[in-house]
Amino acid sequence: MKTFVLLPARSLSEAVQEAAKPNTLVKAGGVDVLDRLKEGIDTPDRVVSIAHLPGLDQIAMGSPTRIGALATLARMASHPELQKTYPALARAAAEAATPQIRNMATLGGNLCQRPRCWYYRNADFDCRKKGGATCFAQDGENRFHAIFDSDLSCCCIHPSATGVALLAYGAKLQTVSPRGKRTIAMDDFFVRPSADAQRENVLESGEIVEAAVLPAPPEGTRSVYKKLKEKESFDWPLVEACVNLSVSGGQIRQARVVLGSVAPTPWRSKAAEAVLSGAKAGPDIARRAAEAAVAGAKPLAQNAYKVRLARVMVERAVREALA
Amino acid sequence: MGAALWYNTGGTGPKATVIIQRDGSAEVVHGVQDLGTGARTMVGVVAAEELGLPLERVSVRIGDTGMPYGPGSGGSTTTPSSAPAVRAAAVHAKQKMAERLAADWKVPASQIEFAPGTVSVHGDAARKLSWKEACAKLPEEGVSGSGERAENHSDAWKRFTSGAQFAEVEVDTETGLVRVKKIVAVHDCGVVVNALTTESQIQGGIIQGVSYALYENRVLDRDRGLMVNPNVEQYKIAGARDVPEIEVHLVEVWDGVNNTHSVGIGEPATVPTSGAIANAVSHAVGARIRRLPITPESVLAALEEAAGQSKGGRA
Repeated sequence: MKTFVLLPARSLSEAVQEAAKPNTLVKAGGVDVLDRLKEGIDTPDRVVSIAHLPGLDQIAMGSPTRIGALATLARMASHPELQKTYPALARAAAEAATPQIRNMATLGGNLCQRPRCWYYRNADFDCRKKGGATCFAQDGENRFHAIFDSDLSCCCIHPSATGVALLAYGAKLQTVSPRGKRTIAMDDFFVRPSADAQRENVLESGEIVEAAVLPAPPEGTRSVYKKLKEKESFDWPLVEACVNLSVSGGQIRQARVVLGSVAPTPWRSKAAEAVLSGAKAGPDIARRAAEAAVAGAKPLAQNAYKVRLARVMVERAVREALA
Repeated sequence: MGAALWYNTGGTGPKATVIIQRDGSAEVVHGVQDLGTGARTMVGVVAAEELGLPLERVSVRIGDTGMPYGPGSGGSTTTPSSAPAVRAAAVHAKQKMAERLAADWKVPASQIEFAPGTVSVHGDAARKLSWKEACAKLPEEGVSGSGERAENHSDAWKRFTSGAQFAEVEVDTETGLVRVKKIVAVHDCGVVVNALTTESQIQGGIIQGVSYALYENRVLDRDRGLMVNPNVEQYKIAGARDVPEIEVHLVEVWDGVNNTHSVGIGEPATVPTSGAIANAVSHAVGARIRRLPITPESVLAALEEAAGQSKGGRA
């Protein structure tokens, strides 16, 4: 590992000033950053630690609800009011990683972690995400890769489980940078590889996520997050499905359907939402939404099975939400 | 169900020294190593049984190449190679002790009788000592005996180790996901030296077998020949929550291969597991999967193929 200077920030404003300097990484829980340093994927001169900044780990329920970026996945998973009001988010946090990692991993870190593509994570492969000329997965070992947007310059999958849930709740992120504060809708936060294969989100140099803000769910909201993984113990998912429906009088008023681990970004399926929005909660609605969700899939040579898994998981999530 | 037949019964090479001390304790010196299989316990148990001592009176020194030669750990050969050498050394140490006492009692050494905790002269109730009293008669430095692993007996009735395992699985036919619910393992264990460590090793073999059946996969990039998952994050190994209920039955078999009838249980415990799981999956879904690991992808493919065949059959 290359030697670097560790800078424990004393305030968020100091952190963003330091983070904006060249060749600097920001570390919260350090789960992903330390992996990348050890793997030789990132070789920063300086690492700004925000792990100890006070007040950024608060979960304030209300209208809206605000979750600080340093709230750990473990706290989100076990927060009784969060479980009640935003069950899909609490579930996404609870099912990520392992108990030890959830105790360290933060909401901000989970959103901003880099993909786990095995070519990106291997320093021997100079892939497009690292600035190289080739996506090795597109013609290589791609059983766990993207089935949507898989034909762009990079076919990795986005690893954030909380990102899937926050997108389903129509959340926004509050950020701080040396240029000031801004609010970014989750719908605008992630970047497709066609725009830039070397980044996964719109954060600029020195910009740090401060909190996620979730609108109060309307009456009759039912949200479900489901994850499918090969192993019960720690494993990255094959597919995640998150649905957020508001139902009244047997009719679905609003619907958000987001798939995870299927595309370089958390994948909102507007086709499935169109099937659900305004529909009666009838017996075949889950199947029709699921079919719509995978209609435009573009699997690679080894991952056509994930299309079927995505369909099954959306169907199960909708069915559970309407049960 | 899956079955294992294992050919290797261990062999010559191992040597051991057993020292009987004046305070009644004993020490075994043997260059085997314990990588978690319970070899240390095995060495102590074999010496303690031969000397008629409780296990806590035997100290075991292992794990150093400067010691009398011990076998490597592999091929289910450690116990059946080590245990006979340790037993032979304990027998020789006892003989030395008998010679000392025989001289004291002025009888031939062949008249000295050992029983657990006592030493006596055959047919003479007056000349009987506790083990501790008898050891007090030894010279200050104690007595020692060395032993060596003999050839396997050519007249052994059986020269292999066998086992059978049975798997119960749950298959989600929509996602192809397989969960192993239970494994029942019935194993020929020779004469069991220590049941706790033997069962533990069989459980370990089964856990590894589950991992092998469902998860472990060394993925090579076909164009470049590099392994793309060379780490424990992406190379999948069964974790605590992937371990099924395990029921182990030890079947004692006196095979006559060596002087302890001991066998090794490394491979026999892990070889049948994946076969049992694959057979159970096939039984559950009515389609064969002939490649490991059995993943959601391969189960779905097998189901699709089976559906296609039955359609073709009807047409």
